[in-house]
Amino acid sequence: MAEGYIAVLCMAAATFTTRAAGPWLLQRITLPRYLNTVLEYLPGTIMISLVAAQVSKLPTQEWPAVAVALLVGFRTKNVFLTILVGVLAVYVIRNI
Amino acid sequence: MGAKFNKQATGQVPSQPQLLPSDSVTFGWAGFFKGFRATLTIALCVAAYGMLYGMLAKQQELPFGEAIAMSMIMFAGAAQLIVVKMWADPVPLIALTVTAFVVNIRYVLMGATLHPWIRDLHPVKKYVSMFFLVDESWALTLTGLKNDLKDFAFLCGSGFCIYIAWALSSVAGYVLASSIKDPEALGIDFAFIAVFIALAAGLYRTRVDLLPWVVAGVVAIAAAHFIPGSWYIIIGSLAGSAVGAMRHG
Repeated sequence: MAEGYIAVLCMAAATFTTRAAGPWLLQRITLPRYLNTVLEYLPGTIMISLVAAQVSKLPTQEWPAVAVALLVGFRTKNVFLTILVGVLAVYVIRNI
Repeated sequence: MGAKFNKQATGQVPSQPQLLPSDSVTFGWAGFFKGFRATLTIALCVAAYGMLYGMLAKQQELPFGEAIAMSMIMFAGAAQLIVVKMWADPVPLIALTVTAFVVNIRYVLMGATLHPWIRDLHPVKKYVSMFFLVDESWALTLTGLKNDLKDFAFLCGSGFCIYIAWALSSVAGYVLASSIKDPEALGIDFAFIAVFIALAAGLYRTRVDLLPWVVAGVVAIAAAHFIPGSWYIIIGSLAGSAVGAMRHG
């Protein structure tokens, strides 16, 4: 039964490698200016890639909930409110 | 956001303009607790899909120990939700490890974006902090660092808050798996998307981000459609960032 734990350890090691790799590599490599600028844009583009792909998998009738969450999110920049409104909207859509 | 010239530790001006903050970060309990407090709301949402993970793990017949160990040692929500569906007897060790690595490859980019601030941070502090790098703690920390945050232990506190929520909700989900019939009817899975929408809003930097983000979104959706796995994150983000950086010449 230990092989389950071995799998967990291996996956954990692989995961930590991804977490450490960024700082570790950049400590040793100097990026050209263009790539430094790419790095500047990465936070937003990573996040939006995550959001966009997740949203595209939702059924179309739930997209209004996404629209509402986007509106509240960008207007208020309040995490709690965004989540509250978004989950409520989805609940309404799915149960009515 | 213009380029700044900075003296490096050796006292020499770098030969190319680098976008570096002028101060190094500090690292202390103040930052830790600040990060912890800032993440409480998000931790609640993480708890929601932590429960989903726990329930899924039970359904997939993972033993309790392994399921919870995954949450506590691997600590990677999206990856866990994916690998748990791959669980079998005997355990496909290589497939699981490779999947875990690939799904989490976005952490390489995320860690890289933090480099400008933590270049000179002591390695122990730096790499212990990296354990607490998850999507949410990273986004909050980065947003903070770009504003007035100076204490990098913020990442640890933020990640630790999520860690507790994730571990506890994994247990709760596993234990309660048979009791909750239809979590999707409650809209719990939408919490995942809502969190990221909120984080994206925090990262938005006025019009300069509009085109790169649109490109990233479109490419990510296309990539997600055609390429299995989580490659869409890397492909979408690099495409959008490449477009954004190209405009600077």
